[in-house]
Amino acid sequence: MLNIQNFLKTYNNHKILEIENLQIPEGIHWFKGINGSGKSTLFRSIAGIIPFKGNILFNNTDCRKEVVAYRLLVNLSEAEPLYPDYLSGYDLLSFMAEAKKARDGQLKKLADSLGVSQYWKSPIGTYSSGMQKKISLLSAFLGSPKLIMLDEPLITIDDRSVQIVYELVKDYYEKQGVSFLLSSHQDFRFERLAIKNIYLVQNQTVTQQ
Amino acid sequence: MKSLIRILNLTIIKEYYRQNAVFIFAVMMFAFGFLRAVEHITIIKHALKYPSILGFFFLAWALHGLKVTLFTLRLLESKQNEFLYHARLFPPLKRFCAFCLLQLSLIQLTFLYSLAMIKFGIEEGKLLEIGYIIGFNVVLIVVGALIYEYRIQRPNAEQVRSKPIQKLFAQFRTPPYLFFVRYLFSKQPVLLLLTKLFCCLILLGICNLYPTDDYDERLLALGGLFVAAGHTVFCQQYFIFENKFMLITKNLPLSDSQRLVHYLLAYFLLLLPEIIVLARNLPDTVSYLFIVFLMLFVLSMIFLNHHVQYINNISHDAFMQRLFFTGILFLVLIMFKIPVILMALINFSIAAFVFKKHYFLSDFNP
Repeated sequence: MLNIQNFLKTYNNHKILEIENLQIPEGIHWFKGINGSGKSTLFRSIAGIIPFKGNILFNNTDCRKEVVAYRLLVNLSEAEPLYPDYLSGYDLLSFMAEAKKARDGQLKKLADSLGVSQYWKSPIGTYSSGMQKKISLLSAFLGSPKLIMLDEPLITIDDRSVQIVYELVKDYYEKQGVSFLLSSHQDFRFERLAIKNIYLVQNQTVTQQ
Repeated sequence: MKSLIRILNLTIIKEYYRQNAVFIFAVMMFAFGFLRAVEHITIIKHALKYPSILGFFFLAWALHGLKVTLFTLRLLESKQNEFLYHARLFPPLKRFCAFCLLQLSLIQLTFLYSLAMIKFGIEEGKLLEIGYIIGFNVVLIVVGALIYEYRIQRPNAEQVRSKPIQKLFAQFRTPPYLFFVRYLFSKQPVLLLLTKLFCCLILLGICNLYPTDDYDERLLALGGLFVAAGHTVFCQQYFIFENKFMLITKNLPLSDSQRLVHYLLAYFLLLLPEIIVLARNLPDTVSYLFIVFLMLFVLSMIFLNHHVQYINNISHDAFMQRLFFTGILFLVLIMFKIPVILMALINFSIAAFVFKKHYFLSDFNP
């Protein structure tokens, strides 16, 4: 499914992460690591939003060479999203839904289930961190992705929303065959999700546990 | 008090000068590039003689004061600077003095010019005018400090000002090409106003100068070049805006042409005031087709300037040098009567090439 080869990410000549070869099969996978270990950097690289050296392919679709096709398949929800505070959540999500070619009604359905539609017409500047996080989580489920990365999906959101996220992950995996990469330094509830592999992000590389 | 001044210096003053380096550079180029020292002295002497001219100076200083005050308020509103509200724990007098120093540091651009005016005022024996100048600077500093004091006592931004315009916008869906335009209206209103004012005045001046002598369309093209240069700061703001708030768009399955069209539409909308000014003041002998070509040339210059921001590892100094020499190159091309539409097409092509090559490789190092 996901193939990472000769991956190297540096910031100002300081090595953050180096992966010689990593093959991730289909399924739900958990990336563990302490703060600053490089989980978010890895997810952002796989999403194609930050530059890196090496190759990342999803089902043989190259992150750099097939820009549009790759991004239709791979979605990301960031750990600590930062959006323009003068826009509304609806502005942003409508744009993302259109770009991701979301089905009619998908956005509204997801917004209703996560409770986002109650506040999404207000400017983002009025949102709490949990409300912003839900905008980010929702955006990752838009379109018809085959891989969804949720970076620290459980932080800042309330218990009810945590349950809904679990249900969405389970539903997308079981009914649509969508794979997930989840990052967290907290333990997930294994009984709720069929975690296939656990990967440890430490010492500037990724190893399977 | 030293610690408070130090933290204000690091968080606000340095940030202001870092973010506004291009603005200050443009003002310096405009003020000292066009006008020689002897002309400045003449203007200052006239200002000291005629209160109406002095009033224009005060108006410009007040606008600049407003710009720096709004910038500081914006930084105070940002989440990463919330710790600055601890300033309230300092004694009121010390805090007020620190805010006065903060404001004085931010208005250096106009303050230093006022010192030159005071020098000539002393030579001319214009004591009353000197008093006005000193008094106005004191007002600028004290009013700024009072506004910061008022703000620091109210940590919750919503208590201070409601945002009716933003609430109105929230009723409608904003198309993506307006995201950055709204960013300028919301976060950089003074920058937007001053840039538009600067560019429109240049075009107005050139359109009025055109019929006074045997000029040809090259004069208008030079005006277009200055207008494009004036938008450099917008290009830099766009790059910062994208990387800070909209990085996720790089994960969206948009084609290169869709992304390029978004940028083109955003900059085209920002150029509307200049298009209107040019259309309304066009000299009789110049065709409307030339306006179209000229605005395409301006748009292409801005477009190119926008996309070179994606090239990694170019320091600010190196960027400014390249910008300057590119400006000289285009000036020479204009003087050699190279058609503006040809230059526009070349600029668009280079911009698209740079985008294709560097967009997904660009790194943001604030």
